Amino acid sequence: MSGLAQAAAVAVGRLDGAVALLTVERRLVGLALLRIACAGVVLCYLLGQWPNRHLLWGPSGAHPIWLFERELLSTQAPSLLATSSPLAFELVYHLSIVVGLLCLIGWRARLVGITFFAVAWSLLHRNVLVMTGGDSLLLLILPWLLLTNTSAYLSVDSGWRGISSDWRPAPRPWRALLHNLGLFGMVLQLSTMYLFAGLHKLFGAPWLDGSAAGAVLRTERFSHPLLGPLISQHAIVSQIVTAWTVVFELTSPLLLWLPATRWLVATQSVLFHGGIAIMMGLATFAVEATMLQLVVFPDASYRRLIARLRIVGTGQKSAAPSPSRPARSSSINGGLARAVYNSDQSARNTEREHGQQEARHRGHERGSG
Amino acid sequence: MAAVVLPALVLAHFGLIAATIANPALIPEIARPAVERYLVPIFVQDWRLFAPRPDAHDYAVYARGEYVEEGVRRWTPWLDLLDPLIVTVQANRLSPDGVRLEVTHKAALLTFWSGGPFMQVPSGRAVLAERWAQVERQPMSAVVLSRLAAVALADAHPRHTFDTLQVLLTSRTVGDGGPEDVSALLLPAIPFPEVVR
Repeated sequence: MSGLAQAAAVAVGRLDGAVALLTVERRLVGLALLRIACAGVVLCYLLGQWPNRHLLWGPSGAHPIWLFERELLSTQAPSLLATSSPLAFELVYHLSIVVGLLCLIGWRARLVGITFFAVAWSLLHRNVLVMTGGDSLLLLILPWLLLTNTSAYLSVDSGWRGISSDWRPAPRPWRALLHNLGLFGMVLQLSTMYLFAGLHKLFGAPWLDGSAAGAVLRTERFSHPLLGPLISQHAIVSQIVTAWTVVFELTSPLLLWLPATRWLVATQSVLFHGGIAIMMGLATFAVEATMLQLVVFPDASYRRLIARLRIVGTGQKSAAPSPSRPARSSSINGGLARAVYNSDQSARNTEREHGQQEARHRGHERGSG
Repeated sequence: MAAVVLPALVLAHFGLIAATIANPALIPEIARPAVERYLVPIFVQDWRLFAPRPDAHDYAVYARGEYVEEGVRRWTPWLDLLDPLIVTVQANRLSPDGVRLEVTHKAALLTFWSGGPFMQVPSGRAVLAERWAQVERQPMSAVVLSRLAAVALADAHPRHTFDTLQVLLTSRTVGDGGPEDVSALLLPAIPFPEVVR
């Protein structure tokens, strides 16, 4: 009986820990960077395709308004750019650029965020043939991004607060709860993408016999004249790349939640999607698929990175503490929130150590002075 | 309480998405319309990225236009729409032409797919071509291809005024040395569309 009570007390303690985790906004740096990346991608479309805007999205372009209205019954995806008036189209298009810029600089981020979602949705659904898998991912994370505080850093709203700032978010239980739910939703969305992309591949013979990567890279559309043959003409290389793709996609949904392995997922993501950008020519897809990794790391990781870069930049010897290993969960019992909790606890410990070390350092300087 | 209920709702949301991707039959039939109304269009997804079998075909899109010169009706030579875009994007992975390549390639691929089993044999492709004689009855991807073709032809032959447009699609399997399978779909000639660039 006492054992049962003890187990219940432990469970309640863990639940309290998980609830406490939700009352402070997490991953604010990563979310600020993600806001910038999302706005950057949409602006790349809007500004990069500005000379082709009438052809790609205009009322009498390649996907004319009558065709959009015919397809709307099945797509059920309306668009602000779906207008038969060329003047209204120009107005909405150029207002979309303004909204993209406001999102980029983080001005009135919550209000602009809602408008930005409408703009991105309208742009990509006005002509669905423009949309890649990365664009789908972008549109799937934007509703979750609306719940989060994306302007705590690197924004007009924050007074251009830098990543290495001493500022810490004040506890705001309800807003923090929504923020952390948005964050939770985004990482779950990323996991869902990798998991099903990997599982679907398990049902295809070319992915199991190792020929898939070579087959894709032999097509003209996705080939690279110099690098493509290195994979497509060497069976062993094709098998390795094919196997890596499947293993990466199937393991990432778990590994990106664990503090000890998320760097492994992020590194593989950069290599994998960077390879797709160069070899297959899908640069926008690669950026969109990689940028969600930004929210996987706690703020302390970014501060350590900035500190290291500064040290490297100034050529000084390391004054920063060595990065502490994140506390390992003895198991994933207690759920994914526990893993994040441990990681953030570890990050806070590191920051506390950093602060104490700085204080000692300052005391030492005063003493020696 | 909210700190427990809300994350549980988020998990339920993704459980629903997982069920619809993995096996929609997991959702009780009575609940399916409600689930569809909830997920479509914002949260619907499937992630068949090059799976289960990557599409190992090279597509080509050709267009020609008919015009009157000195009282005689003439056709232009076939103009290749995809190849110049592929060459440009292979030379510069960040080229703005990447978007037009994406649209043209996807439109060609979807036009072949939208033919379904009719695409397998020449007589089926002839039936399709007849069915698609009117632009309004063509699949979305074929309409887009025709309009992209109109722009490309107007660019290539700026001195001609075209009356009619015709598009030819080909698909060739890309194997590792095995026999190639080439199929072609000649879309019916249609009035030259006015496209604003």
